[in-house]
Amino acid sequence: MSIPAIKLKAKLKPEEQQVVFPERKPTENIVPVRELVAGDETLQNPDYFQVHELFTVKDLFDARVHLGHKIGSMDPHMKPFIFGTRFDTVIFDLDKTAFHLRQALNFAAHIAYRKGVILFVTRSAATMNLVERTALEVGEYAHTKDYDTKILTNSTTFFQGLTRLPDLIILLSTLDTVLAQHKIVADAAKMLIPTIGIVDSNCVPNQVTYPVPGNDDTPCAVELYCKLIKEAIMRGKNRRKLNDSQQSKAVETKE
Amino acid sequence: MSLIWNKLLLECSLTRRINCRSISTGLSFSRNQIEGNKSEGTSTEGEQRGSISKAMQSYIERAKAHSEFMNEQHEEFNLGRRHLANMMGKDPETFSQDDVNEAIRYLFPSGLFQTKARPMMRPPEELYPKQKAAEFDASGRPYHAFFYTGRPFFFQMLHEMVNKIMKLNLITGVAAELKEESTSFINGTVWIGKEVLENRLFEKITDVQYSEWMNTLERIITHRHVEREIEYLKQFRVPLARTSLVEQVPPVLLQPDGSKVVTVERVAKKRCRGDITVRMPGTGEIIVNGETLEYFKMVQSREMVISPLQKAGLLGAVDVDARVEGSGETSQAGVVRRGIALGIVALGAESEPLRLAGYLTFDRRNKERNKPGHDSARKKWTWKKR
Repeated sequence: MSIPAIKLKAKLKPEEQQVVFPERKPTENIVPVRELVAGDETLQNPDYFQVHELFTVKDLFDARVHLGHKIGSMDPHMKPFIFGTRFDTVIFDLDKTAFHLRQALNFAAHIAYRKGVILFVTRSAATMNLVERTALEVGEYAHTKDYDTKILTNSTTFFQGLTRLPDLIILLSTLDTVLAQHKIVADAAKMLIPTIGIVDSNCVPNQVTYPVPGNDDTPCAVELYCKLIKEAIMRGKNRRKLNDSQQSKAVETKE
Repeated sequence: MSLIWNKLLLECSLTRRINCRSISTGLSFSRNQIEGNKSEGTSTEGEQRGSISKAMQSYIERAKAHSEFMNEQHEEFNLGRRHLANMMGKDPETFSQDDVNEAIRYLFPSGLFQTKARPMMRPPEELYPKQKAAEFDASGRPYHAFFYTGRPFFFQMLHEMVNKIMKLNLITGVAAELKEESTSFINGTVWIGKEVLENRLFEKITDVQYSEWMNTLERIITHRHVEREIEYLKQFRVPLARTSLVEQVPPVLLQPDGSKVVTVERVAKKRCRGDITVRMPGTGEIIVNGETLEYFKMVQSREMVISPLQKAGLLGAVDVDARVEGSGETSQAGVVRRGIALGIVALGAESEPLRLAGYLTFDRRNKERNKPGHDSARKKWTWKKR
């Protein structure tokens, strides 16, 4: 008996083995990140807009930010943010909340400083009007009604023309209904739009860029968030105004 | 509280912004801008590009293409108008749109039922939809805070309404007594329709949104401090269209003996016509074509004739004299019934119960159509089992 010989695949020639990538031409507008950061004054300080002084942990406690939902409805991904439970209710660790909230406020201030478009989103009926008012007061945008997924993912059709999308989405509640997550969270992730989201103990923080663990149902807590976000955005905008006026003055004196 | 500046996250955010989503320019950094900051260099092409967003560039291109297209259409229309004028032997300079319509009717006669389907020649401005003005500035930032909802003006209106409700809720103390004059505008008026609202807002809204809008207004109108917002509410109310106007009531003649007589002429159903005279007060005598109620052979027809008198409680209180001709018994009974109903309304009976019973409404039904596969409206073939 003779065993049939196994046919081996013909070996590639050494020049064929080598993968040749086409040469990429450098695009005009792309700047290396390091160069960009080095050239920007606001990026030299970790807290350029001094958002850490906007609130204390005591303020959060007074606004009832620490109160979550019943332990049974807790999402396992929220476990790192909780302090414990009391009467079956989840209690958030406000030190952690403060850390995340300050990061989020800092990011919002930076986006506002760079003239970004900021969209406020919520589906909670109790705080809809408050959120819309906050957006109007800071000169930004709000969407608190039924959400159509075309808005971000098929915007050219939805708005009948090329449209600039938001640069930051702030969710005062990441839920659409009691059980479902707001679809804009996934859409924003698809479109690479950063999000800031207040995530309660029954929410999933995974797709939110800057999750802030805290109570998203109580009006006084949402009022506090709105107040802080408004202040952070105004700091960014005011700084931009100051810079612009200084620059225009410098140009005038030069001329 | 220590704050760690997570530089990496912002860096990532900035890089992907520049590389991936070039539509957004608010956050884009051009090399020239960065260098300009360092050395205060001169403005170049890069800065100019940065000042106008791609959204705006695209809008400008669209607007340009649209105006070019419209100019072309306008030229074609003018040429066509002059051709028509020549064909009709008139002066092209003074050839108006009315003349164009007349010429088209004459030169291209059409028997098509739909007027829109008939040939026409109208100025291009009337035929092509107007282009939307840009809703954002040069950097691509929308003008309206609710732009991203797709219906900014509608949601702004809702927002204002909720603001008003909250303002009313804040008012402490007892509500002022409502004067009837102040809320009387509600009577006989309804909320404006969906289409009217859409025309006011220049936006299309869904049925659900329209009912949400109405519910919000209802919350204001039922508020105990509503008198402060009456002027606001008035702009959304329109007079109720009269849907149930009783047909022209025939005149009542006063007789020398003090009785009232009404003659309802040419009452019709199918091919039956009739004149019905009602006299009040009377003895309850009903005469049809010179005979008593027994003129109608079927009990149902007799019941039909007296039904309006029963409804109005005038049985035995009026005399009826009817002359009917044409069609069958049921149609004649229907004619007499309608004539009596109209007559007693003229004599002062309440019209609404009679209208609801259907006695005042003209029965526009005619011959019942016959059905496919059959000989007449109801007639069937004889059933034969194989």
